[in-house]
Amino acid sequence: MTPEQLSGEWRRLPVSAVAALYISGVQKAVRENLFLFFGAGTGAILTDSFGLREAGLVAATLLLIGLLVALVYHRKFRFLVHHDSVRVRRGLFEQKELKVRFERIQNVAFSQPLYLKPLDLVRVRLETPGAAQTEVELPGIPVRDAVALRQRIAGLRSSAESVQAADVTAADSAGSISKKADVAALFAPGFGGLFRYGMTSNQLWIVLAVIAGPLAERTADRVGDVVDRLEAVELIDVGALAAAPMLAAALLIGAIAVLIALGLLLSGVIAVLRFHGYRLSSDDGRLRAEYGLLERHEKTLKRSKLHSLEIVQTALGRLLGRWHVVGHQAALDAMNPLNKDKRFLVPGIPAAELSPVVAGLSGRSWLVTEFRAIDRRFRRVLWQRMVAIPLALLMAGQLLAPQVSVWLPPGLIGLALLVASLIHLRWKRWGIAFGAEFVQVRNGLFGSRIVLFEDARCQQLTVKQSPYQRRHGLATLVIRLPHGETTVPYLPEPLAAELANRLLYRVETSHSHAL
Amino acid sequence: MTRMENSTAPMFSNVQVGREGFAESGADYRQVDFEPVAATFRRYAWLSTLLYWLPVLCTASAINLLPKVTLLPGMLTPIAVAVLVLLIGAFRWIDAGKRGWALREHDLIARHGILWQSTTTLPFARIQHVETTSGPLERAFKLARLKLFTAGGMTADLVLIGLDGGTADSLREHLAEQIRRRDAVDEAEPAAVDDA
Repeated sequence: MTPEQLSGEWRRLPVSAVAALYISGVQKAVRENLFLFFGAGTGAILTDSFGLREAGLVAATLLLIGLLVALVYHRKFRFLVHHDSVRVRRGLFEQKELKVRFERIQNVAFSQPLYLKPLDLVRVRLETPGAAQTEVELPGIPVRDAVALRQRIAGLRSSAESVQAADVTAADSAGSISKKADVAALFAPGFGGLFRYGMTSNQLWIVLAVIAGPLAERTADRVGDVVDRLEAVELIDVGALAAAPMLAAALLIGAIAVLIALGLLLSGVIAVLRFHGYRLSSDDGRLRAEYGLLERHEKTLKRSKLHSLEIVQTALGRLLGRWHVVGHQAALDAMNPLNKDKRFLVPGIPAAELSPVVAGLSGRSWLVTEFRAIDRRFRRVLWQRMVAIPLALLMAGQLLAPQVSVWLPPGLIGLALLVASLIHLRWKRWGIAFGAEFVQVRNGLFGSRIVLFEDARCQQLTVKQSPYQRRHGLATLVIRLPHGETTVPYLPEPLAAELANRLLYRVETSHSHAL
Repeated sequence: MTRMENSTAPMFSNVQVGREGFAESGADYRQVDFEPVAATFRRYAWLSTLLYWLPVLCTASAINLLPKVTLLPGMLTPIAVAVLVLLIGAFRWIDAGKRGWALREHDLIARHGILWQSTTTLPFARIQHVETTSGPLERAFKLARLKLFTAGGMTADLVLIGLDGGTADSLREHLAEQIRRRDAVDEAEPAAVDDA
């Protein structure tokens, strides 16, 4: 289908899209309520109160309601493609109509879960800067229509040859959703790169941290039962372990190490499944990322829509020699986990390929550069307030209450030294570098996070001074970008002011939009 | 650091636009004269603090009348709350004196803070829309607040409080005109915008 044939009349979703709506709706409901279920302890309460039969009945009822919702939503959903915009009518009880102009669309994202492949359907999301309510999602349209729509948005000339070249069949599961003409490949991490990226990612640990609390008690009960059973068959002797605390501690540490290793392995496997076949390419000012095994994703956006890049190396990433880059588009709230798909993520980059990848994303050459450090008083102030003063108070308390353990003072000193070291590392990592048109801010602790942005993309600038900073001629510069803020504390005040003036000059004389 | 090169290009100016239309030279955001908040804002700050804490003050006083519920002996509880209210009111009085704003050719600057001082500059090129709001107490004092929104934000990026109602309306209209002119330029030069 050509882009011209796509437009002109209101279209409905194909009948087979009901399955897509239903399954994606169930997934979304489970995902959005999973943390609530575990985090609030509701699951523990319910599983104690409910039997399997009752739980099954509730689940079946919810699934049936979901099916009815999907059918009604499918029946009411319409979309219309104009020459310069797309209109969508959607809603269950309240019909809403949304119109989005093509020039506002900054990212065309395709995704094709496994269950859509046999149906030759693809989910299309047209992302715009700003609120999620201004985004268009077509839950399941034929691949040919999706490609034609993307071509219409990109403003490409339609031709039978280009459309045929872009078509694929559902049987081509190893390939991309839409084949393209040869485009320059920027980066492909491969299996090893993705596995290592997964190990450096902290997503699994965040999930575990959320659900650990409510599950801990139930897990402790289960572990207790297992230990009793093992003792009953004489595989372990709890009494002997109690008499040998060092052995017990070693076993515990060993068990924790095994769990951490399993966690790292699981993280790596999840990353490989999620980013399987990752390929980053560029074509005429457009960036394209394709990845995914169970659910195939294809994201396309104009390079000019990336207003900043976050170049990250976690602590584990430093050991494994891996970076990842996050390209930020304007989003309602970049910290909102529901918006994380708006980020343009490039995973598993080895150090040797970092410069070319960042250059490909930013459109300019980029080299790891020398950063100007923030003032040493940042470190001194934190040492005083977080180490010296609390330590002095605690030691004074120890003198007044000598019955407390003799190990407490050296323990406190050890802890103070550790905190002081962390403060030093934090200070050392924080810095700023500025070129002709770009600014870079680096911070981190064991790892490194560099925010790279064009100076004309700033939204707002704030210079702050505490009483201490005023006394010592220092200031904190806060630069607001479309996706969030980046802060550089304890700069010399003249430098902070000069930098602020320069950024304002660039914003106010540039033709570029922030978005 | 690379200095701004303007020896051959037209001189960039960002002079301050005074309320009377007088302009002062300077592109340094520090070289501006800040307009203070409206004269009635301090009285508003006192009264709003009092009204806000009045329920707490009444509750603290009434607690002493309840049997077997005593936080502090005698009238110390309501006195403590009253002292707290006075301190907060005094803080807001002093804070009002430290607030200011300045309008320049290309941006708006706002300042606030007593001990921790903050100066925020928002270029017109980044403002998406502007609105003025006022609560019932603010309207009684003929005050208003000006909210400026940049792209991608649901909440205001910069809020000027304590403005005289007429000043807030004038600022709003001025900024709306700047936005309109900017959008007109963007529509006339789409290629230049797209190549950013």
